[in-house]
Amino acid sequence: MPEKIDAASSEIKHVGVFDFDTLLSTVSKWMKGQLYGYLEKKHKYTADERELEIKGDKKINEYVKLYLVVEVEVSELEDVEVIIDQKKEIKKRGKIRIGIEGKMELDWMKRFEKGFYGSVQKFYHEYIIKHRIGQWKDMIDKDVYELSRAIRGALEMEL
Amino acid sequence: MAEKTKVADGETIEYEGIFKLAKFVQSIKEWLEEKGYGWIEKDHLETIGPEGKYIEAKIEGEKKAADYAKQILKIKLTFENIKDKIVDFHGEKSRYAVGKAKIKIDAHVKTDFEKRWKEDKPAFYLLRLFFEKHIYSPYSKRLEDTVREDVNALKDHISNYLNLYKY
Repeated sequence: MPEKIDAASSEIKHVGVFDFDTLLSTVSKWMKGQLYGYLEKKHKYTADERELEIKGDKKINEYVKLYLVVEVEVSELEDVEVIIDQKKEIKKRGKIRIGIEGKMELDWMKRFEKGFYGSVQKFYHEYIIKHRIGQWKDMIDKDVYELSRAIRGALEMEL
Repeated sequence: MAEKTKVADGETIEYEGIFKLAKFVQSIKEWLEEKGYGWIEKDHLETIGPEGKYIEAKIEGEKKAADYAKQILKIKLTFENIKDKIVDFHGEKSRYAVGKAKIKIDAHVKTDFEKRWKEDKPAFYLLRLFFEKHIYSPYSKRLEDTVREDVNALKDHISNYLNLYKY
């Protein structure tokens, strides 16, 4: 029976000037670079708002999959003129919230079903691969942190 | 049911002056990782106002002491009115931040974090109470002391970094 386990989550909020395209390409490049799939589940686009939900999954082996869910919400978006290296550029200013959630799925191929195999699976998780489950959880925690760093870099945030 | 014992509740260090922001946060991260606590950034906010930048970050670090107990440190970093300043130090120019920093530390020990002793069965509940009061108590006391020491060491580390007076 598949089991989903929540791992680390992180939320980034930023108010200021940013480049939305750079942000999206950073997320996409990072996920592809780390061998996650990249799927835009939702994309809402209005004049001053954007809403986006990106899902990525990475197969560790035939039993374990890691998931990353990135939610981007932009509001109060407006064009501003910025001078960079004495050249005028049009950039976007607004409020942005990015939520990153890490998850892990065990038995994603549904090999263990209820009943006897369910008990075998419980034993397998509790006593045989318990330590490795911890290691996979650390892996997704690290990915959440690294992606959060990449996003903050793309938003040119201080930290 | 998981139970939390508070060890530090909102202990705060405040500083106003000049410092290297990114290096300061990095030093706290390195300290936590060196002590075996992870570094999970739960929340991160940055805005820019006329007074300067406002940055708020909520960090969580946890260390598994055993299968039954976990030590948890929660740190809230707040930086207000942050402005950049270029300082010429021995002929070398480097970028510093000037503003206010506030570091708030919470810490606790969490027992039965895997929720093995479920409360829906009264016998389990009684057994857990007995276990925590009479069998596990010296061990959990030791864990609380370790967390207390870690909080003190972290506060010392921050004070040293910011060059604060110590009494």
